[in-house]
Amino acid sequence: MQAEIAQTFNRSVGQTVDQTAGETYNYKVVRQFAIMTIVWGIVGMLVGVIIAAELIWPDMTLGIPWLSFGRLRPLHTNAVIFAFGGCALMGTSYYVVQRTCQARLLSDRLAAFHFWGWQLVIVLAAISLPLGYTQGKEYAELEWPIDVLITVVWVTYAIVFFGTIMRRKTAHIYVANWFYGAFIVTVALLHIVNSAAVPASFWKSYSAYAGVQDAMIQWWYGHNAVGFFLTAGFLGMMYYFVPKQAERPVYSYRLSVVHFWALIFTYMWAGPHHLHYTALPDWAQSLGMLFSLILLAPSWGGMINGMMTLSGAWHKLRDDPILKFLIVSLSFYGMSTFEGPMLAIKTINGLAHYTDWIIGHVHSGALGWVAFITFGSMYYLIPRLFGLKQMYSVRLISMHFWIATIGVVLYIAALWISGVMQGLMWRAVNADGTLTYSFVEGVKASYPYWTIRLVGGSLFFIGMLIMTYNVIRTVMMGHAYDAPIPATLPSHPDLKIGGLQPAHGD
Amino acid sequence: MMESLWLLIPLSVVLAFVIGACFWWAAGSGQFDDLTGPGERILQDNDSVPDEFINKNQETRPGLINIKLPKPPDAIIDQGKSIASESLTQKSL
Repeated sequence: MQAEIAQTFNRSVGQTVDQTAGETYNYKVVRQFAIMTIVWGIVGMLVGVIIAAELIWPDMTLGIPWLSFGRLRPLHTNAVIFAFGGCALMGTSYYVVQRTCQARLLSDRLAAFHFWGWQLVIVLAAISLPLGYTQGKEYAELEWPIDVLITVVWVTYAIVFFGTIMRRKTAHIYVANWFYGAFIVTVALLHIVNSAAVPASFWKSYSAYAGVQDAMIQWWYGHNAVGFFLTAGFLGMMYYFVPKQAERPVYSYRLSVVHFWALIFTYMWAGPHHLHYTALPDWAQSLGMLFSLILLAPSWGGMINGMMTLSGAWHKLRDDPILKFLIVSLSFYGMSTFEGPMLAIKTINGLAHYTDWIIGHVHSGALGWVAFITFGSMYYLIPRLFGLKQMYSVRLISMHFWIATIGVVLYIAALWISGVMQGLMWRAVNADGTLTYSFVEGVKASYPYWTIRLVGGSLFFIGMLIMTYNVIRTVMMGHAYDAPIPATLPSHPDLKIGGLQPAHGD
Repeated sequence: MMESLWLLIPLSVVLAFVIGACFWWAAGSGQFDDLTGPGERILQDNDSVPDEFINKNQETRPGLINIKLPKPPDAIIDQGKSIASESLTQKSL
Protein backbone atom coordinates (compact mmCIF):
# COMPACT_ATOMS: atom_id res chain seq x y z
CA MET A 1 0.00 0.00 0.00
CA GLN A 2 2.79 2.42 0.91
CA ALA A 3 4.59 1.73 -2.35
CA GLU A 4 1.38 2.41 -4.21
CA ILE A 5 0.90 5.74 -2.47
CA ALA A 6 4.49 6.70 -3.07
CA GLN A 7 3.93 5.91 -6.73
CA THR A 8 0.85 8.10 -6.85
CA PHE A 9 2.83 10.85 -5.13
CA ASN A 10 5.68 10.53 -7.60
CA ARG A 11 3.22 10.68 -10.45
CA SER A 12 1.63 13.84 -9.15
CA VAL A 13 5.00 15.58 -8.88
CA GLY A 14 5.79 14.46 -12.41
CA GLN A 15 8.60 12.01 -11.90
CA THR A 16 10.21 11.51 -15.28
CA VAL A 17 11.14 8.12 -16.61
CA ASP A 18 13.04 7.61 -19.85
CA GLN A 19 10.80 7.04 -22.83
CA THR A 20 12.03 3.76 -24.14
CA ALA A 21 14.17 4.14 -27.19
CA GLY A 22 13.23 0.71 -28.55
CA GLU A 23 10.99 -0.21 -31.44
CA THR A 24 7.39 0.94 -31.31
CA TYR A 25 4.15 -0.46 -32.67
CA ASN A 26 2.71 1.10 -35.80
CA TYR A 27 -0.16 3.02 -34.21
CA LYS A 28 -0.24 5.56 -37.02
CA VAL A 29 -2.28 3.42 -39.40
CA VAL A 30 -4.55 2.37 -36.52
CA ARG A 31 -5.14 6.05 -35.71
CA GLN A 32 -5.95 6.79 -39.34
CA PHE A 33 -8.45 3.96 -39.59
CA ALA A 34 -9.98 4.86 -36.22
CA ILE A 35 -10.61 8.46 -37.26
CA MET A 36 -12.03 7.43 -40.61
CA THR A 37 -14.33 4.97 -38.84
CA ILE A 38 -15.95 7.96 -37.16
CA VAL A 39 -16.03 10.05 -40.35
CA TRP A 40 -17.59 7.30 -42.49
CA GLY A 41 -19.95 6.43 -39.64
CA ILE A 42 -21.42 9.93 -39.83
CA VAL A 43 -21.67 9.82 -43.63
CA GLY A 44 -23.18 6.34 -43.81
CA MET A 45 -25.71 6.90 -41.03
CA LEU A 46 -26.70 10.31 -42.38
CA VAL A 47 -27.47 8.76 -45.78
CA GLY A 48 -29.47 6.11 -43.93
CA VAL A 49 -31.54 8.78 -42.19
CA ILE A 50 -32.11 10.54 -45.52
CA ILE A 51 -33.41 7.42 -47.27
CA ALA A 52 -35.59 6.56 -44.27
CA ALA A 53 -37.11 10.04 -44.67
CA GLU A 54 -37.50 9.50 -48.42
CA LEU A 55 -39.78 6.54 -47.73
CA ILE A 56 -42.11 8.90 -45.88
CA TRP A 57 -41.69 11.93 -48.15
CA PRO A 58 -40.78 10.47 -51.56
CA ASP A 59 -40.56 13.93 -53.16
CA MET A 60 -38.26 15.46 -50.56
CA THR A 61 -35.22 15.47 -52.86
CA LEU A 62 -37.13 17.35 -55.56
CA GLY A 63 -36.74 14.60 -58.12
CA ILE A 64 -32.95 14.97 -58.38
CA PRO A 65 -31.90 11.56 -59.73
CA TRP A 66 -28.59 11.42 -57.82
CA LEU A 67 -30.48 11.69 -54.53
CA SER A 68 -33.21 9.17 -55.35
CA PHE A 69 -33.78 6.20 -53.03
CA GLY A 70 -32.51 3.66 -55.55
CA ARG A 71 -29.11 5.36 -55.80
CA LEU A 72 -28.65 6.43 -52.19
CA ARG A 73 -29.63 3.06 -50.74
CA PRO A 74 -26.51 1.24 -52.08
CA LEU A 75 -24.46 4.25 -51.01
CA HIS A 76 -25.84 3.84 -47.47
CA THR A 77 -25.11 0.10 -47.32
CA ASN A 78 -21.64 0.47 -48.82
CA ALA A 79 -20.78 3.36 -46.52
CA VAL A 80 -21.86 1.69 -43.30
CA ILE A 81 -20.59 -1.81 -44.12
CA PHE A 82 -17.39 -1.25 -46.05
CA ALA A 83 -16.43 2.27 -45.01
CA PHE A 84 -17.53 2.45 -41.35
CA GLY A 85 -17.35 -1.28 -40.59
CA GLY A 86 -14.37 -1.83 -42.87
CA CYS A 87 -12.24 0.91 -41.34
CA ALA A 88 -13.19 -0.30 -37.84
CA LEU A 89 -12.16 -3.88 -38.68
CA MET A 90 -8.95 -2.85 -40.40
CA GLY A 91 -7.90 -0.46 -37.65
CA THR A 92 -8.68 -2.81 -34.77
CA SER A 93 -7.18 -5.82 -36.55
CA TYR A 94 -3.89 -3.94 -36.97
CA TYR A 95 -3.97 -3.00 -33.28
CA VAL A 96 -4.86 -6.47 -32.06
CA VAL A 97 -2.44 -8.32 -34.31
CA GLN A 98 0.45 -6.10 -33.22
CA ARG A 99 -0.35 -6.21 -29.49
CA THR A 100 -1.02 -9.94 -29.33
CA CYS A 101 1.92 -10.90 -31.56
CA GLN A 102 4.20 -8.31 -29.91
CA ALA A 103 5.49 -7.34 -33.32
CA ARG A 104 5.32 -4.23 -35.47
CA LEU A 105 3.34 -4.48 -38.71
CA LEU A 106 5.21 -6.21 -41.53
CA SER A 107 5.55 -3.02 -43.54
CA ASP A 108 4.59 0.57 -42.81
CA ARG A 109 4.50 1.44 -46.49
CA LEU A 110 2.17 -1.42 -47.38
CA ALA A 111 -0.05 -0.52 -44.42
CA ALA A 112 -0.17 3.09 -45.62
CA PHE A 113 -0.98 1.90 -49.14
CA HIS A 114 -3.76 -0.22 -47.66
CA PHE A 115 -5.20 2.77 -45.78
CA TRP A 116 -5.12 5.24 -48.68
CA GLY A 117 -6.21 2.59 -51.19
CA TRP A 118 -9.25 1.74 -49.09
CA GLN A 119 -10.17 5.41 -48.71
CA LEU A 120 -9.92 5.78 -52.49
CA VAL A 121 -12.28 2.83 -52.95
CA ILE A 122 -14.78 4.49 -50.60
CA VAL A 123 -14.57 7.87 -52.33
CA LEU A 124 -15.00 6.23 -55.75
CA ALA A 125 -18.05 4.39 -54.39
CA ALA A 126 -19.49 7.62 -53.01
CA ILE A 127 -19.15 9.23 -56.45
CA SER A 128 -20.08 6.36 -58.77
CA LEU A 129 -23.14 5.04 -56.92
CA PRO A 130 -25.16 8.30 -56.91
CA LEU A 131 -24.21 8.74 -60.58
CA GLY A 132 -25.93 5.42 -61.21
CA TYR A 133 -22.95 3.18 -62.04
CA THR A 134 -23.81 -0.19 -60.55
CA GLN A 135 -23.47 -3.90 -61.18
CA GLY A 136 -26.86 -4.32 -59.54
CA LYS A 137 -25.61 -6.93 -57.05
CA GLU A 138 -26.55 -6.21 -53.46
CA TYR A 139 -23.50 -5.30 -51.32
CA ALA A 140 -21.37 -5.74 -54.47
CA GLU A 141 -22.66 -2.84 -56.54
CA LEU A 142 -19.33 -1.26 -57.42
CA GLU A 143 -18.31 -1.42 -61.08
CA TRP A 144 -15.40 -3.54 -62.26
CA PRO A 145 -12.54 -0.98 -62.14
CA ILE A 146 -13.30 -0.37 -58.45
CA ASP A 147 -13.57 -4.13 -57.93
CA VAL A 148 -10.06 -4.52 -59.32
CA LEU A 149 -8.79 -1.81 -56.97
CA ILE A 150 -10.51 -3.52 -54.02
CA THR A 151 -8.73 -6.76 -54.92
CA VAL A 152 -5.31 -5.07 -54.96
CA VAL A 153 -5.94 -3.27 -51.66
CA TRP A 154 -7.32 -6.42 -50.05
CA VAL A 155 -4.30 -8.50 -51.07
CA THR A 156 -2.09 -5.82 -49.50
CA TYR A 157 -4.14 -6.06 -46.32
CA ALA A 158 -3.69 -9.84 -46.27
CA ILE A 159 0.08 -9.52 -46.81
CA VAL A 160 0.47 -7.02 -43.96
CA PHE A 161 -1.79 -8.94 -41.57
CA PHE A 162 -0.44 -12.43 -42.15
CA GLY A 163 3.10 -11.10 -42.51
CA THR A 164 2.78 -9.62 -39.03
CA ILE A 165 1.55 -12.95 -37.67
CA MET A 166 4.56 -14.65 -39.28
CA ARG A 167 6.97 -12.37 -37.41
CA ARG A 168 5.20 -12.75 -34.07
CA LYS A 169 7.26 -13.09 -30.90
CA THR A 170 4.70 -15.29 -29.20
CA ALA A 171 4.20 -18.94 -30.06
CA HIS A 172 0.45 -18.84 -29.67
CA ILE A 173 -1.79 -16.96 -32.10
CA TYR A 174 -4.54 -15.33 -30.05
CA VAL A 175 -8.07 -16.36 -31.06
CA ALA A 176 -9.04 -12.84 -32.21
CA ASN A 177 -6.39 -13.07 -34.94
CA TRP A 178 -7.92 -16.30 -36.21
CA PHE A 179 -11.26 -14.56 -36.62
CA TYR A 180 -9.68 -11.56 -38.34
CA GLY A 181 -7.64 -13.89 -40.55
CA ALA A 182 -10.71 -15.90 -41.60
CA PHE A 183 -12.48 -12.65 -42.40
CA ILE A 184 -9.62 -11.46 -44.63
CA VAL A 185 -9.21 -14.72 -46.55
CA THR A 186 -12.90 -15.44 -47.04
CA VAL A 187 -13.89 -11.93 -48.11
CA ALA A 188 -11.12 -12.07 -50.74
CA LEU A 189 -12.51 -15.33 -52.11
CA LEU A 190 -16.13 -14.14 -52.05
CA HIS A 191 -15.25 -10.87 -53.74
CA ILE A 192 -13.33 -12.50 -56.58
CA VAL A 193 -15.97 -15.15 -57.35
CA ASN A 194 -18.99 -12.85 -57.15
CA SER A 195 -17.45 -9.89 -58.94
CA ALA A 196 -16.38 -11.93 -61.97
CA ALA A 197 -17.76 -9.90 -64.86
CA VAL A 198 -17.27 -9.17 -68.52
CA PRO A 199 -16.51 -5.46 -69.02
CA ALA A 200 -18.43 -3.79 -71.83
CA SER A 201 -16.86 -0.38 -71.28
CA PHE A 202 -14.95 1.33 -68.50
CA TRP A 203 -18.08 1.90 -66.42
CA LYS A 204 -20.26 -0.99 -67.54
CA SER A 205 -19.93 -4.72 -67.15
CA TYR A 206 -22.06 -7.84 -67.26
CA SER A 207 -21.93 -10.57 -64.64
CA ALA A 208 -20.13 -13.74 -65.66
CA TYR A 209 -23.19 -15.70 -64.51
CA ALA A 210 -26.80 -15.48 -65.68
CA GLY A 211 -30.29 -15.86 -64.21
CA VAL A 212 -30.69 -18.11 -61.20
CA GLN A 213 -27.00 -19.08 -61.44
CA ASP A 214 -26.16 -15.45 -60.85
CA ALA A 215 -28.63 -15.27 -57.97
CA MET A 216 -27.09 -18.32 -56.33
CA ILE A 217 -23.56 -16.90 -56.64
CA GLN A 218 -24.77 -13.49 -55.43
CA TRP A 219 -26.35 -14.86 -52.25
CA TRP A 220 -23.54 -17.28 -51.63
CA TYR A 221 -21.50 -14.07 -51.60
CA GLY A 222 -24.12 -11.97 -49.85
CA HIS A 223 -24.74 -14.16 -46.88
CA ASN A 224 -21.10 -15.08 -46.43
CA ALA A 225 -20.27 -11.38 -46.52
CA VAL A 226 -22.64 -11.07 -43.56
CA GLY A 227 -21.00 -14.10 -42.00
CA PHE A 228 -17.39 -13.17 -42.47
CA PHE A 229 -17.37 -9.39 -42.80
CA LEU A 230 -20.05 -8.53 -40.26
CA THR A 231 -19.67 -11.53 -37.96
CA ALA A 232 -16.25 -13.21 -37.98
CA GLY A 233 -14.36 -9.92 -38.21
CA PHE A 234 -16.34 -8.29 -35.42
CA LEU A 235 -16.04 -11.43 -33.31
CA GLY A 236 -12.30 -10.91 -33.53
CA MET A 237 -12.90 -7.43 -32.15
CA MET A 238 -15.15 -8.88 -29.43
CA TYR A 239 -12.59 -11.47 -28.29
CA TYR A 240 -10.00 -8.78 -27.71
CA PHE A 241 -11.86 -5.70 -26.51
CA VAL A 242 -14.44 -7.35 -24.22
CA PRO A 243 -11.79 -9.07 -22.05
CA LYS A 244 -9.56 -5.98 -22.11
CA GLN A 245 -12.30 -3.58 -21.07
CA ALA A 246 -13.71 -5.99 -18.48
CA GLU A 247 -10.15 -6.71 -17.26
CA ARG A 248 -11.03 -10.38 -17.14
CA PRO A 249 -9.97 -13.22 -19.45
CA VAL A 250 -12.61 -14.49 -21.84
CA TYR A 251 -14.99 -16.84 -19.98
CA SER A 252 -13.66 -19.94 -21.71
CA TYR A 253 -10.71 -19.68 -24.05
CA ARG A 254 -11.33 -23.29 -25.04
CA LEU A 255 -14.88 -22.42 -26.11
CA SER A 256 -13.61 -19.48 -28.14
CA VAL A 257 -11.37 -21.84 -30.13
CA VAL A 258 -14.27 -24.28 -30.65
CA HIS A 259 -16.45 -21.29 -31.63
CA PHE A 260 -13.97 -20.31 -34.32
CA TRP A 261 -13.59 -23.71 -35.97
CA ALA A 262 -17.30 -24.53 -35.73
CA LEU A 263 -18.27 -21.21 -37.27
CA ILE A 264 -15.92 -21.34 -40.23
CA PHE A 265 -16.65 -24.98 -41.03
CA THR A 266 -20.42 -24.45 -41.08
CA TYR A 267 -20.92 -20.94 -42.41
CA MET A 268 -20.42 -21.32 -46.16
CA TRP A 269 -23.80 -22.78 -47.16
CA ALA A 270 -26.35 -20.51 -45.50
CA GLY A 271 -26.74 -18.30 -48.60
CA PRO A 272 -29.66 -20.09 -50.34
CA HIS A 273 -32.04 -19.00 -47.57
CA HIS A 274 -32.13 -15.67 -49.40
CA LEU A 275 -33.70 -17.48 -52.37
CA HIS A 276 -36.57 -19.43 -50.77
CA TYR A 277 -39.51 -20.01 -53.13
CA THR A 278 -37.55 -18.85 -56.17
CA ALA A 279 -36.30 -20.69 -59.27
CA LEU A 280 -33.51 -22.17 -57.15
CA PRO A 281 -34.00 -25.96 -56.85
CA ASP A 282 -35.87 -27.02 -53.72
CA TRP A 283 -33.03 -29.16 -52.41
CA ALA A 284 -30.64 -26.20 -52.55
CA GLN A 285 -33.15 -24.08 -50.61
CA SER A 286 -33.53 -26.80 -47.98
CA LEU A 287 -29.76 -27.15 -47.75
CA GLY A 288 -29.48 -23.41 -47.10
CA MET A 289 -32.17 -23.61 -44.42
CA LEU A 290 -30.47 -26.56 -42.73
CA PHE A 291 -27.07 -24.87 -42.60
CA SER A 292 -28.66 -21.67 -41.33
CA LEU A 293 -30.25 -23.60 -38.45
CA ILE A 294 -26.96 -25.31 -37.62
CA LEU A 295 -25.34 -21.87 -37.30
CA LEU A 296 -27.37 -21.12 -34.19
CA ALA A 297 -25.11 -23.39 -32.12
CA PRO A 298 -21.69 -21.79 -32.71
CA SER A 299 -23.23 -18.30 -32.71
CA TRP A 300 -24.82 -18.72 -29.31
CA GLY A 301 -21.74 -20.46 -27.99
CA GLY A 302 -19.74 -17.37 -28.85
CA MET A 303 -22.37 -15.00 -27.52
CA ILE A 304 -22.55 -16.79 -24.16
CA ASN A 305 -18.76 -16.93 -24.01
CA GLY A 306 -18.52 -13.18 -24.49
CA MET A 307 -21.26 -12.35 -22.00
CA MET A 308 -20.03 -14.73 -19.32
CA THR A 309 -16.64 -13.02 -19.44
CA LEU A 310 -18.30 -10.63 -17.02
CA SER A 311 -19.39 -13.39 -14.64
CA GLY A 312 -18.45 -12.35 -11.14
CA ALA A 313 -17.93 -8.77 -12.28
CA TRP A 314 -21.40 -7.77 -13.38
CA HIS A 315 -21.18 -4.69 -11.16
CA LYS A 316 -18.75 -3.24 -13.70
CA LEU A 317 -21.69 -2.77 -16.05
CA ARG A 318 -23.21 -0.30 -13.62
CA ASP A 319 -20.80 2.52 -14.23
CA ASP A 320 -18.75 1.61 -17.28
CA PRO A 321 -20.57 2.76 -20.43
CA ILE A 322 -17.91 1.22 -22.69
CA LEU A 323 -18.66 -2.18 -21.18
CA LYS A 324 -22.37 -1.46 -21.62
CA PHE A 325 -21.78 -0.97 -25.34
CA LEU A 326 -19.80 -4.19 -25.60
CA ILE A 327 -22.18 -6.36 -23.61
CA VAL A 328 -25.35 -4.97 -25.20
CA SER A 329 -23.76 -5.58 -28.59
CA LEU A 330 -23.42 -9.24 -27.60
CA SER A 331 -27.08 -9.42 -26.62
CA PHE A 332 -28.02 -8.02 -30.03
CA TYR A 333 -25.65 -10.56 -31.60
CA GLY A 334 -27.52 -13.29 -29.72
CA MET A 335 -30.88 -11.88 -30.81
CA SER A 336 -29.97 -11.57 -34.48
CA THR A 337 -28.35 -14.99 -34.63
CA PHE A 338 -31.53 -16.47 -33.17
CA GLU A 339 -33.81 -14.46 -35.45
CA GLY A 340 -31.71 -15.29 -38.53
CA PRO A 341 -32.04 -19.09 -38.39
CA MET A 342 -35.75 -18.70 -37.56
CA LEU A 343 -36.23 -16.48 -40.62
CA ALA A 344 -34.38 -19.06 -42.71
CA ILE A 345 -37.08 -21.67 -42.00
CA LYS A 346 -39.12 -21.84 -45.20
CA THR A 347 -42.56 -21.35 -43.65
CA ILE A 348 -41.50 -18.37 -41.57
CA ASN A 349 -39.60 -17.00 -44.53
CA GLY A 350 -42.81 -17.22 -46.57
CA LEU A 351 -44.31 -14.66 -44.21
CA ALA A 352 -41.28 -12.47 -43.64
CA HIS A 353 -39.45 -12.37 -46.97
CA TYR A 354 -39.52 -9.04 -48.86
CA THR A 355 -41.15 -7.32 -45.84
CA ASP A 356 -39.74 -4.76 -43.40
CA TRP A 357 -39.04 -7.57 -40.95
CA ILE A 358 -35.89 -8.41 -42.94
CA ILE A 359 -34.69 -4.80 -42.82
CA GLY A 360 -35.36 -4.80 -39.08
CA HIS A 361 -33.40 -8.04 -38.72
CA VAL A 362 -30.46 -6.63 -40.65
CA HIS A 363 -30.42 -3.51 -38.50
CA SER A 364 -30.61 -5.39 -35.23
CA GLY A 365 -27.38 -6.98 -36.42
CA ALA A 366 -25.89 -3.87 -38.01
CA LEU A 367 -26.81 -1.26 -35.41
CA GLY A 368 -27.09 -3.46 -32.33
CA TRP A 369 -24.15 -5.78 -32.90
CA VAL A 370 -21.73 -4.30 -35.45
CA ALA A 371 -22.03 -0.62 -34.57
CA PHE A 372 -22.20 -1.17 -30.79
CA ILE A 373 -19.14 -3.40 -30.67
CA THR A 374 -17.37 -0.83 -32.85
CA PHE A 375 -18.36 2.06 -30.57
CA GLY A 376 -17.19 0.17 -27.49
CA SER A 377 -13.90 -0.81 -29.11
CA MET A 378 -13.26 2.72 -30.42
CA TYR A 379 -13.90 4.25 -27.00
CA TYR A 380 -11.34 1.82 -25.62
CA LEU A 381 -8.87 2.35 -28.44
CA ILE A 382 -8.88 6.07 -29.22
CA PRO A 383 -7.48 7.33 -25.87
CA ARG A 384 -4.69 4.74 -26.15
CA LEU A 385 -3.80 5.95 -29.62
CA PHE A 386 -3.73 9.58 -28.54
CA GLY A 387 -1.71 9.23 -25.35
CA LEU A 388 -4.53 9.42 -22.82
CA LYS A 389 -6.05 7.26 -20.11
CA GLN A 390 -9.63 7.68 -21.22
CA MET A 391 -11.99 9.61 -23.47
CA TYR A 392 -12.59 13.34 -22.98
CA SER A 393 -15.94 12.65 -21.35
CA VAL A 394 -17.23 9.39 -19.92
CA ARG A 395 -20.65 10.96 -19.38
CA LEU A 396 -20.95 11.61 -23.10
CA ILE A 397 -20.20 7.92 -23.75
CA SER A 398 -23.02 7.09 -21.38
CA MET A 399 -25.34 9.53 -23.13
CA HIS A 400 -24.37 8.04 -26.51
CA PHE A 401 -25.12 4.57 -25.19
CA TRP A 402 -28.64 5.38 -23.99
CA ILE A 403 -29.63 7.43 -27.04
CA ALA A 404 -28.32 4.77 -29.41
CA THR A 405 -30.02 1.95 -27.48
CA ILE A 406 -33.40 3.70 -27.53
CA GLY A 407 -32.84 4.35 -31.24
CA VAL A 408 -32.15 0.69 -32.06
CA VAL A 409 -35.09 -0.57 -30.04
CA LEU A 410 -37.52 1.86 -31.73
CA TYR A 411 -36.10 0.96 -35.13
CA ILE A 412 -36.34 -2.82 -34.72
CA ALA A 413 -39.70 -2.88 -32.95
CA ALA A 414 -41.31 -0.64 -35.58
CA LEU A 415 -40.11 -2.84 -38.43
CA TRP A 416 -41.14 -6.05 -36.66
CA ILE A 417 -44.68 -4.75 -36.52
CA SER A 418 -44.78 -3.36 -40.04
CA GLY A 419 -43.03 -6.47 -41.40
CA VAL A 420 -45.51 -8.95 -39.95
CA MET A 421 -48.37 -6.64 -40.94
CA GLN A 422 -47.14 -6.45 -44.53
CA GLY A 423 -46.67 -10.23 -44.68
CA LEU A 424 -50.20 -10.85 -43.43
CA MET A 425 -51.75 -8.25 -45.74
CA TRP A 426 -49.97 -9.61 -48.81
CA ARG A 427 -51.14 -13.16 -48.22
CA ALA A 428 -54.73 -12.37 -47.16
CA VAL A 429 -57.28 -13.74 -49.66
CA ASN A 430 -61.02 -13.37 -49.89
CA ALA A 431 -63.44 -16.29 -50.00
CA ASP A 432 -63.50 -16.05 -53.81
CA GLY A 433 -59.70 -16.33 -53.98
CA THR A 434 -58.93 -12.71 -54.83
CA LEU A 435 -56.39 -10.71 -52.81
CA THR A 436 -57.91 -8.80 -49.91
CA TYR A 437 -55.46 -5.90 -50.12
CA SER A 438 -53.76 -4.21 -53.02
CA PHE A 439 -50.03 -3.60 -52.62
CA VAL A 440 -50.46 0.11 -52.10
CA GLU A 441 -52.75 -0.49 -49.12
CA GLY A 442 -49.83 -2.27 -47.46
CA VAL A 443 -47.63 0.74 -48.19
CA LYS A 444 -50.20 3.10 -46.71
CA ALA A 445 -50.50 1.02 -43.55
CA SER A 446 -46.68 1.09 -43.13
CA TYR A 447 -46.31 4.87 -42.86
CA PRO A 448 -46.68 5.15 -39.05
CA TYR A 449 -43.99 2.49 -38.54
CA TRP A 450 -41.68 4.09 -41.06
CA THR A 451 -42.01 7.30 -39.08
CA ILE A 452 -41.03 5.50 -35.88
CA ARG A 453 -38.13 3.94 -37.78
CA LEU A 454 -37.00 7.40 -38.89
CA VAL A 455 -37.10 8.59 -35.27
CA GLY A 456 -35.10 5.56 -34.13
CA GLY A 457 -32.55 5.99 -36.91
CA SER A 458 -32.23 9.71 -36.17
CA LEU A 459 -31.57 8.99 -32.49
CA PHE A 460 -28.85 6.57 -33.51
CA PHE A 461 -27.36 9.24 -35.77
CA ILE A 462 -27.48 11.81 -32.94
CA GLY A 463 -25.57 9.31 -30.81
CA MET A 464 -22.95 9.15 -33.54
CA LEU A 465 -22.66 12.95 -33.48
CA ILE A 466 -22.15 12.88 -29.70
CA MET A 467 -19.38 10.34 -30.22
CA THR A 468 -17.82 12.55 -32.87
CA TYR A 469 -17.72 15.53 -30.51
CA ASN A 470 -16.21 13.37 -27.79
CA VAL A 471 -13.57 12.02 -30.18
CA ILE A 472 -12.67 15.50 -31.45
CA ARG A 473 -12.18 16.77 -27.90
CA THR A 474 -10.15 13.67 -27.02
CA VAL A 475 -7.88 14.08 -30.02
CA MET A 476 -7.45 17.79 -29.27
CA MET A 477 -6.29 17.25 -25.72
CA GLY A 478 -4.21 14.21 -26.55
CA HIS A 479 -1.03 13.69 -28.46
CA ALA A 480 -0.24 10.94 -30.96
CA TYR A 481 1.32 8.08 -29.03
CA ASP A 482 3.18 5.05 -30.35
CA ALA A 483 3.60 2.40 -27.69
CA PRO A 484 6.96 0.66 -27.37
CA ILE A 485 7.10 -3.06 -28.02
CA PRO A 486 7.98 -4.84 -24.78
CA ALA A 487 11.29 -6.67 -25.00
CA THR A 488 9.90 -9.91 -23.62
CA LEU A 489 6.50 -11.20 -22.85
CA PRO A 490 5.33 -10.33 -19.36
CA SER A 491 4.62 -13.56 -17.59
CA HIS A 492 3.23 -14.52 -14.26
CA PRO A 493 4.56 -17.47 -12.26
CA ASP A 494 1.05 -18.48 -11.15
CA LEU A 495 -0.10 -18.99 -14.68
CA LYS A 496 0.37 -22.16 -16.57
CA ILE A 497 1.68 -20.93 -19.87
CA GLY A 498 2.32 -23.65 -22.39
CA GLY A 499 3.89 -22.17 -25.45
CA LEU A 500 6.23 -19.41 -24.41
CA GLN A 501 9.03 -20.50 -26.70
CA PRO A 502 9.72 -18.15 -29.58
CA ALA A 503 8.04 -19.00 -32.86
CA HIS A 504 9.88 -21.13 -35.38
CA GLY A 505 12.70 -19.33 -37.10
CA ASP A 506 12.67 -16.45 -34.64
CA MET B 1 -29.51 -27.89 -63.69
CA MET B 2 -27.63 -25.57 -61.41
CA GLU B 3 -24.39 -24.87 -63.24
CA SER B 4 -23.21 -22.41 -60.61
CA LEU B 5 -23.18 -25.21 -58.06
CA TRP B 6 -20.46 -26.88 -60.14
CA LEU B 7 -18.35 -23.94 -59.11
CA LEU B 8 -19.58 -23.41 -55.55
CA ILE B 9 -19.62 -27.01 -54.33
CA PRO B 10 -16.06 -27.88 -55.45
CA LEU B 11 -14.99 -24.53 -54.02
CA SER B 12 -16.55 -25.46 -50.67
CA VAL B 13 -14.86 -28.85 -50.73
CA VAL B 14 -11.48 -27.29 -51.48
CA LEU B 15 -12.09 -24.72 -48.76
CA ALA B 16 -13.04 -27.41 -46.26
CA PHE B 17 -9.73 -29.13 -47.00
CA VAL B 18 -7.86 -25.84 -46.63
CA ILE B 19 -9.55 -25.20 -43.28
CA GLY B 20 -8.78 -28.79 -42.33
CA ALA B 21 -5.12 -28.26 -43.21
CA CYS B 22 -5.04 -25.08 -41.10
CA PHE B 23 -6.57 -26.99 -38.22
CA TRP B 24 -4.01 -29.78 -38.68
CA TRP B 25 -1.17 -27.25 -38.66
CA ALA B 26 -2.60 -25.49 -35.61
CA ALA B 27 -2.89 -28.75 -33.68
CA GLY B 28 0.57 -29.89 -34.72
CA SER B 29 2.31 -26.63 -33.90
CA GLY B 30 0.96 -26.55 -30.37
CA GLN B 31 -1.73 -23.89 -30.82
CA PHE B 32 -4.11 -25.97 -28.71
CA ASP B 33 -1.61 -27.09 -26.06
CA ASP B 34 -2.67 -24.44 -23.59
CA LEU B 35 -6.28 -23.40 -23.71
CA THR B 36 -6.38 -21.20 -20.63
CA GLY B 37 -3.13 -19.22 -20.59
CA PRO B 38 -3.59 -17.20 -23.79
CA GLY B 39 -6.83 -15.73 -22.46
CA GLU B 40 -5.00 -14.48 -19.37
CA ARG B 41 -1.97 -13.31 -21.27
CA ILE B 42 -3.66 -10.51 -23.23
CA LEU B 43 -4.52 -8.98 -19.87
CA GLN B 44 -0.87 -9.00 -18.82
CA ASP B 45 -0.02 -6.97 -21.89
CA ASN B 46 -0.48 -3.50 -20.44
CA ASP B 47 -1.57 -1.29 -23.30
CA SER B 48 -2.59 1.75 -21.30
CA VAL B 49 -0.60 4.92 -21.88
CA PRO B 50 2.17 5.34 -19.28
CA ASP B 51 1.80 8.24 -16.85
CA GLU B 52 5.18 9.64 -17.92
CA PHE B 53 3.91 10.24 -21.43
CA ILE B 54 0.78 11.94 -20.15
CA ASN B 55 2.74 14.10 -17.75
CA LYS B 56 5.22 15.09 -20.44
CA ASN B 57 2.37 15.94 -22.76
CA GLN B 58 0.76 17.97 -20.00
CA GLU B 59 3.95 19.95 -19.44
CA THR B 60 4.23 20.91 -23.06
CA ARG B 61 0.55 21.69 -23.46
CA PRO B 62 -0.66 22.88 -20.05
CA GLY B 63 -4.34 23.10 -19.39
CA LEU B 64 -5.32 20.83 -22.24
CA ILE B 65 -5.49 17.70 -20.15
CA ASN B 66 -8.01 17.25 -17.45
CA ILE B 67 -8.02 13.63 -16.45
CA LYS B 68 -10.21 12.72 -13.56
CA LEU B 69 -8.73 9.81 -11.65
CA PRO B 70 -11.18 8.09 -9.31
CA LYS B 71 -10.92 9.72 -5.89
CA PRO B 72 -9.52 7.34 -3.26
CA PRO B 73 -11.18 7.22 0.17
CA ASP B 74 -10.21 10.08 2.52
CA ALA B 75 -8.36 7.74 4.87
CA ILE B 76 -5.95 6.74 2.12
CA ILE B 77 -5.43 10.36 1.09
CA ASP B 78 -4.59 11.33 4.69
CA GLN B 79 -2.24 8.37 4.97
CA GLY B 80 -0.61 9.42 1.71
CA LYS B 81 -0.21 12.99 2.89
CA SER B 82 1.41 11.92 6.13
CA ILE B 83 3.81 9.58 4.30
CA ALA B 84 4.63 12.32 1.85
CA SER B 85 5.31 14.84 4.59
CA GLU B 86 7.35 12.26 6.52
CA SER B 87 9.55 11.56 3.52
CA LEU B 88 9.93 15.29 2.93
CA THR B 89 10.98 15.94 6.51
CA GLN B 90 13.38 13.01 6.33
CA LYS B 91 14.91 14.51 3.22
CA SER B 92 15.21 17.94 4.79
CA LEU B 93 16.94 16.36 7.77
